[in-house]
Amino acid sequence: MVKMLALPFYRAHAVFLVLVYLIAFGFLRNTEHIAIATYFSANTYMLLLLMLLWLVYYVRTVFYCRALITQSDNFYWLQQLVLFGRLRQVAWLSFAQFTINLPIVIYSIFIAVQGMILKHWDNVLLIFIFNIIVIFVPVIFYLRVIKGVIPEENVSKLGNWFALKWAKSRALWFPLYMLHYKPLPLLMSKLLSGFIIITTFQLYFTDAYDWRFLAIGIFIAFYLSSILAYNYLQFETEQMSILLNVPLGLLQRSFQQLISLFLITLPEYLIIVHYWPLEGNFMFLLQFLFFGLSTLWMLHQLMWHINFNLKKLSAHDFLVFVFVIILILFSVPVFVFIMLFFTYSLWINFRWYRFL
Amino acid sequence: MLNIQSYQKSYGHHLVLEIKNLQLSHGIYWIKGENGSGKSTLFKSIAGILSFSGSISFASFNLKKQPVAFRKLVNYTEAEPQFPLHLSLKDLIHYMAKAKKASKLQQEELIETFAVQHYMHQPFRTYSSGMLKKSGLLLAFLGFAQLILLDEPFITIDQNAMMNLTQLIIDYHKNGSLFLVASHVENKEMQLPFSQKFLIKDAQMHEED
Repeated sequence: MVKMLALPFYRAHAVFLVLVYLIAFGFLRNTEHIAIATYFSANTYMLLLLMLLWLVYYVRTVFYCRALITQSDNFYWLQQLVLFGRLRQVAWLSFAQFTINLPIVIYSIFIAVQGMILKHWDNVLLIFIFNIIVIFVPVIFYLRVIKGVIPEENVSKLGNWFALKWAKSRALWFPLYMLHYKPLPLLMSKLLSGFIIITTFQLYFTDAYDWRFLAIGIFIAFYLSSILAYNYLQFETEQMSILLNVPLGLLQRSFQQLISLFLITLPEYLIIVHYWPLEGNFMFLLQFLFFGLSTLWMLHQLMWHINFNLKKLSAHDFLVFVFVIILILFSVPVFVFIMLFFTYSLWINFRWYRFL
Repeated sequence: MLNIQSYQKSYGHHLVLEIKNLQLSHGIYWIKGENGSGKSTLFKSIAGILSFSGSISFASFNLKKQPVAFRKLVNYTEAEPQFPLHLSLKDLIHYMAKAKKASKLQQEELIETFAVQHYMHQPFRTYSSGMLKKSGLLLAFLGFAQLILLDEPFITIDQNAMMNLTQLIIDYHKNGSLFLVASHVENKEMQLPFSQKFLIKDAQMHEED
């Protein structure tokens, strides 16, 4: 594992690491090093900030190792690895990750020693926990990646039992696809939209804002989820082009699309319901939920309309974005947008099967 | 009867295929042509997967005017079927059978004919190319399709499956289905009673003797 993951990593990043070494040890004297380490070991916030910086390095190592694992050259080694028990797999991968982490581990130990001298035990513990996490979280991730590369490893007993009993509903196909194969874009989009919705709802009370503020927040949150709409369209037309041969009427097709989009944005709806600031106004809440869903459906249809042309998409996207925000500022009610987006989506869906 | 009028398909400025007028009555038709000649493009157009200019109709239903009724009658399988790796054949059968109104009995018969019962519940990522091919073929026979488009149906499948497939085509044909078969395999292996052969060359479709 060290040969497969750690050595190629050091070889590929040799120049960068030497540069960091020269900067760190070429300009500073020993006393200055100790002073910096003492400062970090004594200040928890600064230590957390430093760890955030280290995380950049760790993210880079994880992406690099993932690329190595999925390389066809390493397929043979991975097939050998999965023959061993899970404990041994974890041990080998952990050692490889530890080797990759070594430059930061050494420096963190240096800070920890200063912390011990000054008896900042909480910060020493923090460094220890951090070093454990940055070994085991990547290892769990690598094991998942290996599962994806080796098909035989990718069938769980529970999954097999479910598959024998039931067939997966059509509405779940796309959400499961995103969870299995695109978890990072899914997670990022959820974090971003969740952050925007919560921030908007929290800010609502800080000034004399009205419903327009909430509408803009929800619109932006769902608009930024357009990556999901894009992936959904790709899934339907490229991964499963045979779906275009399925004899479904306009309403059936639209319903299926809406259900899939609803399921993939379920966390956003839960956040909206949980943090909803206008207590008791149920009809308004319902309108906002439909507003989010219709926005995403409109984006999905817009992408089909312009035939995946990304240049056109960004131009159209931006125009729609600005136009809708201006209209909201002019107090155009949310239900008007819902009607508009639904009508547009139905119209495109109607043309879709007829190649108009 | 399959009726194709003023059909044209281009990718960018490159004309792939042009059919001025083609009418095919009940039968089994062999479509030949070099790689990239436009066989799959034609099949995908008829199946409603790929846009085109012109008109395609079957049994009085026009693909552009009655898209749902048309698709009920037309089934298609790709030369190298690709399915989302997290789904299983069972998931697709379940969904397609509902959409194409296939009976439980027909599903069971097809599962047995293609001998997929042992792995149909497993995800596609565990399938070999032959298993994927059989999956695509099985789905192409589901429902009451009157026009079945088979793109290279005899490649990558085992001898037993080949024999079963030939018999299935003959049986469905007897029950009124029209077949378009694109294949590079010699008819010695397929043993199909072709009504006519066509060759696609230089973006045109020619009748072969």
